[in-house]
Amino acid sequence: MLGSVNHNIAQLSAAALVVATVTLFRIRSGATAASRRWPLHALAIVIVAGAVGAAYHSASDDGLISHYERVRAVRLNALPQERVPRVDLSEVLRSADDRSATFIDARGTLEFDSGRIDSAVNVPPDLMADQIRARLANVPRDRPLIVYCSRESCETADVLASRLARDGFTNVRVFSGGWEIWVAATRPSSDVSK
Amino acid sequence: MRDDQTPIVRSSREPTALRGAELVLRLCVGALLIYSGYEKLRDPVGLVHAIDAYRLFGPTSGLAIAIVLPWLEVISGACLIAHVAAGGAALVAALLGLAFVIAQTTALARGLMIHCGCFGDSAMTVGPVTVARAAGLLAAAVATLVLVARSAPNDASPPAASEARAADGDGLP
Repeated sequence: MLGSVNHNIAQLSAAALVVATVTLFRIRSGATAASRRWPLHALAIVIVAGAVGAAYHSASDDGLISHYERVRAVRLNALPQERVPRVDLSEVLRSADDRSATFIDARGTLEFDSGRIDSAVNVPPDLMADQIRARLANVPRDRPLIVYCSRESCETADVLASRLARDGFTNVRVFSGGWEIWVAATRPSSDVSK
Repeated sequence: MRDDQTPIVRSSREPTALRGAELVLRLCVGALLIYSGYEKLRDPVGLVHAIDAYRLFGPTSGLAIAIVLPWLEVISGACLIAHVAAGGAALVAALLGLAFVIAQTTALARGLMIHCGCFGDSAMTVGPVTVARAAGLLAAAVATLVLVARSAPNDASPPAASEARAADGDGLP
């Protein structure tokens, strides 16, 4: 599947480059004033950038397109499976106060660095399975885990919680309101320990 | 003294000063864009997260922006430095600066505490400094655009047409 996707992207990139080249030559041969050619030059630059970017990211297994096709496949596989139990704000606050649970932050690294629940462990959605295991190697399998992401509509907490449950963690729950509700409850943290 | 002497003197000095200023601005804005694009290319996944943090785009459009944006910066920066389609490249730079200002201002207005994603992983948190930096890029790009326009002779007149194409970077392969 990835191969066919990348093949199509490579074809589209080649077509875009041809269009951009033709556009540039047509601009060159035109008799319009210099400033009137700028939008067309700008459009050609955007087309070339899109084509080069698509080719660059589809050519390598580490490219964004291949990478996110894998993430999407993981999501599609994970979501229809077991529904992970939910936990509400009051229980989250209690668990944070008495440190009876480990918080897992399923947001991206930049968001995590901007603020997080105290002592939360960051597991971004793009980590591979062995990287997740390494990051949680010191967490006992029966330790209560509370997974959260940015807000209620984000799905990365559900995806990660499903993966953790399948990896043998026996007490995994999702804080569905996530960081947005935590901030609304005025409990942000500037803790910088990762 | 002839009436037309003054315009002749001004026209012989102005292009030199204008072209000098245009050259400096083109090199500075071009180098800044290339550096910014290069830093973004070094951490593409981080760029996706940075774009996502602004909460302005869906996952697919955010991914598309992360794929195109670094190359847009690198190619337009290279065009500015090489003086190839410089007017179009300056227009792209100005639009990028405008987009950065709008995105960061709206993030500040919404109270988001996020990294700006401006220069890859070394990004600062969005704040007045990063907004001012984006506004600086916008101002420099607009100034470049104006200077490119003023230093390019009007190619509506036939003798100046080839020179205008050269000044506008129309000497494309």
